[in-house]
Amino acid sequence: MAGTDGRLPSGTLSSKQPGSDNRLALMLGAIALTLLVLSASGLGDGAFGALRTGFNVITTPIRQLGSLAGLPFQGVGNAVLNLTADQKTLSDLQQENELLAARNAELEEAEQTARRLEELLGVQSSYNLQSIGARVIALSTSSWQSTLTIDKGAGAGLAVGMPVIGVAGVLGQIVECYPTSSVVALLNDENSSVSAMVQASRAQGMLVGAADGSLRLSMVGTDQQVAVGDTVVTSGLGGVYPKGLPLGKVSSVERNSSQIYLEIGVSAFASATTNEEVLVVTSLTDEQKASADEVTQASAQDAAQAQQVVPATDATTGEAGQAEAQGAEEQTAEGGEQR
Amino acid sequence: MSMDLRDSGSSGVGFAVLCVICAFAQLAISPNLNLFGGCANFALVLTACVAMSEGGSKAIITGFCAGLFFDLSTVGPMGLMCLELTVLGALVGASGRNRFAESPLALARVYALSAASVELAYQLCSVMVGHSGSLWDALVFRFLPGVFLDLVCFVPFAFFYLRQVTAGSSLGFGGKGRRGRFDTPGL
Repeated sequence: MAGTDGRLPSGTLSSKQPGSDNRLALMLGAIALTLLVLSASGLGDGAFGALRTGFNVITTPIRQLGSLAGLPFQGVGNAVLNLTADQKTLSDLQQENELLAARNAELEEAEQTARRLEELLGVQSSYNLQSIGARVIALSTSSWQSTLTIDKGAGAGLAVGMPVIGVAGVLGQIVECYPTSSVVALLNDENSSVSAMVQASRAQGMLVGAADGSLRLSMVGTDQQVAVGDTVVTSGLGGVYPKGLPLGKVSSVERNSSQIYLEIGVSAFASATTNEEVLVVTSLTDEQKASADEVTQASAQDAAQAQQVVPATDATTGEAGQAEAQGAEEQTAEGGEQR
Repeated sequence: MSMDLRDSGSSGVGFAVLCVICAFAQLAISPNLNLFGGCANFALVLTACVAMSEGGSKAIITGFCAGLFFDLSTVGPMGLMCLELTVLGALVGASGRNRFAESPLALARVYALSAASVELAYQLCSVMVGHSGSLWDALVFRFLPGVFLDLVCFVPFAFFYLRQVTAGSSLGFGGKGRRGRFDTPGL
């Protein structure tokens, strides 16, 4: 019996007509050979190209499906290739990887710089500042001062007294100007002071730095409304800083019945360590200076505070009262800024 | 006779399923099953399965169509695999033996020889017609991994055919087992 030994019986379809099978094989073989010759000679390139294009269009969804199913197998293939990679290949790849990592870091740096500059341009545009861009090249070299050095100086049109701002707000003021660089005293420098006001209540004061690096809003009378979280902005008095630039946020307010001024702590918006590019304001427009009304209002506030100080001085004959009264007069007269 | 018709019908369905599986595998799995640049050839697997189980004109036509399908799915020379699989179908199928009923070792020997011949011829022809630049690369990075993958991919099909034969059923992918339709007296 044919089936039992695995051989097909002689009467099967395939072995009934061996001649016809041979003819079929020859015919199909000849067709295939013709296709091969046409393909190899380039004669049928157009037709074959069209055929392959059509075939690929039809089968693309299946290929896409397969690429998902084939991921594990591809991983195995890659793993085998990695195992058999020679030392030179690995070394080359490692070197290439290091180069790409360095290049990637460089590009990320460039992207961040571009973003910072874009933000600075936004600041310049929103406050309509006449300014020059500069790059921070050094921070304080002395523990006695809070300064930074920028890469533009007198040669670029900068001068002592010009305010410097970062993306988040005011950074400080130029205190030394060289031909190719300038030194900027930061807001929290002990010798720094800026005419400021509380944005919500319009209470005028002086933002001064301290040796411990903190900021204090002084000369704000106890009758003024100041709350923690209020924004402190430049007042424009004195004509050095443009009006309305953000300085910081009120972090603490202390009312002492024996004092005529509030003790207001301020945390600065801008930090020297996070600014690599800055804007130096070269001139102010009329809108950026304090208006006559604001000067009058500041004078009235100072006068009211001075009247409170005089009786207190009379009563106590203290030096503190005299000093505060003198400070109030100075605020109105000079408008603050660098002391 | 009715038994014959029923078996022919199931054999036809099985053959169609086999074709669909191999076509899907050729398009979807083979490009992603890559080893040293060599790919599995499911057209070869299909032709070998049909040639070793049924043979005859069916194997020749299957070889031709599967080869053409392979050529269309690749960027190699058109008609080359078509010619090779037509010849393979004719030669392996000419013996008229159900090789799945033989010992697995003999089956593997025939298939390995077939796969090696087809892959070697394909790579040599590719070099000759200029589709492959280096003979060394064609042999080492395409021929050997290709044969290896062909063997690996044949295993599940062979296992299925062998199970059909062992179970004595002719249902499935058209394999004629020891107790298939050819055992029916009168045929």
